[in-house]
Amino acid sequence: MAERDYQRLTRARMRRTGFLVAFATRSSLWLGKDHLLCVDSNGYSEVYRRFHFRDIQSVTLRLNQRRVWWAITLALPLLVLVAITAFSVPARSLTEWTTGETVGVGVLAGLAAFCAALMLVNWLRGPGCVCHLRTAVQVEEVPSLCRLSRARRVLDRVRPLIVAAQGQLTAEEVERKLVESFGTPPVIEWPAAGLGVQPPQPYQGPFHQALCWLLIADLPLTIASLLLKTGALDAAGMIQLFVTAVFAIVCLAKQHDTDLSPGLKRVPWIVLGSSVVFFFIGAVYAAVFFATHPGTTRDAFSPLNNPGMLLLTVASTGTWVVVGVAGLIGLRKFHQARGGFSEPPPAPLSPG
Amino acid sequence: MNVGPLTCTRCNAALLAGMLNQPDLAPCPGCGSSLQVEVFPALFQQPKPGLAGEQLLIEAEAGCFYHPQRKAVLPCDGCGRFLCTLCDCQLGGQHLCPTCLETGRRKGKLKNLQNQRTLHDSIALALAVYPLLIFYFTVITAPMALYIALRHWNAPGSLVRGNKVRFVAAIVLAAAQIAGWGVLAYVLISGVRRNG
Repeated sequence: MAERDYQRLTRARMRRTGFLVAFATRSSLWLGKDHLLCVDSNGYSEVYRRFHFRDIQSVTLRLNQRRVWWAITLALPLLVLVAITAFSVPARSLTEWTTGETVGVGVLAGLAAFCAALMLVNWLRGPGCVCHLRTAVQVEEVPSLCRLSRARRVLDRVRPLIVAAQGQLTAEEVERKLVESFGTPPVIEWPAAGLGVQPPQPYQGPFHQALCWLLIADLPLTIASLLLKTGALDAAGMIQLFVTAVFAIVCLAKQHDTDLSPGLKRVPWIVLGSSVVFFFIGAVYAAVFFATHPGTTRDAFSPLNNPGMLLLTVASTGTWVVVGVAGLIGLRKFHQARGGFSEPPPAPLSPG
Repeated sequence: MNVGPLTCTRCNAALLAGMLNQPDLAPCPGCGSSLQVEVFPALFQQPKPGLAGEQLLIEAEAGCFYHPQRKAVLPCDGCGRFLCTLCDCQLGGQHLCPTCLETGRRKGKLKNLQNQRTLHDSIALALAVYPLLIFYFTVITAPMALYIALRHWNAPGSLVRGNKVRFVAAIVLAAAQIAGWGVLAYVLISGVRRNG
């Protein structure tokens, strides 16, 4: 018989269990009779985590930049698609377009509209957040509560059940109990070992530095390849692309659970993501171009002869150069804050 | 120096008491992240010490099955054996003895103790659907999907998804693929015989 003991609270969202996972784990939250059930599924098996209402000590919501990063991630391909669509529009009246041209422009415009719709949905869903549930033995992230509005709605629904199981505290009662339990009001101490939160490992960032230099090296290589048009330079460009991708993956592995700043941790993700996005856009544009211009040679698709391809090349190379330079600047600031390569982090503040 | 028990989930800085159970977001004193923290009475509860079980003083009284010198307080809901307070394991409103608890966990009869399940229906459906991308693989995967669906029809599935829709879909798709291969084989053999 069907087990209808649970009501769905959230849809499944990705849980990041590592820098690279073969099967992505999707996490959803369900409401049981006396507990919350967090279900992690990879499509072929499920792992369950139960949080009984009587055991939940606290719920923490922390704002993050999820909405902003998604907006940037979607804005970049949208701008490129809009520009390529504009370049692909024939300089004739609409009634004189061929079927191939109409379909091609339609496909590009459709993709641009899809990106725009995703951007709108992302913005309308509100700011992103990270939610943690704390019990006596664990602090667990709930990945499916990734938007502040949704997290607050779920919390509003679950709060009466928690209160029914263990009672409720006002803000004044919390402060009084904290003072009773722990003496004088808490002071700031860093780093303080959080229950269940592992301290980050120190990391110097040499692989990230190499990755940033590889990104910057794309600029002279691209310019030389465009101007000189030799097979050797094309091969060098492919090797550089491959090596950059490998370094990005290595950086993802190396930066896991380290004290590297969040901005620098995004660099390999941006490199891999932008590579996929620009490759996809280039493939779509190439398909549309050769479908609407049958019989043209490959030279007609060269960036020097094709404005759309030139824009794509400038956008991809420019993105990598900007990310590379920003990464090097970020690394410099990171090392300055750390006091150089070999010195340990600064001592925690001690008010006495 | 006294430190609060709650820390920021980003920088591990201890949170100030004035930040807790507030309706709006407040900045973390360590990293400045906007936080909303809701605290419940469980945070301040001390764990209850376990009960050792009362000594059996009167012979006429029932004793625990596992500790004959301890007074029995209730029967096990699984096997009916008398249990003292030490042997009483409460789970989901039931009172179980340690043996029933372990047996229930091992055989998967206690849903509250299950923390993992294999989704045979999803595996069968994946075997029936994904190989369609390269059709020739279905000659192997369709029988596999059908076998998995029938073999694990009665196996417990997802805790939260209680229907057998995926099993049915996998069986239908796999059967259709097997039938398709059968028809293809018949047509090919008939063609060879006619020409030969």
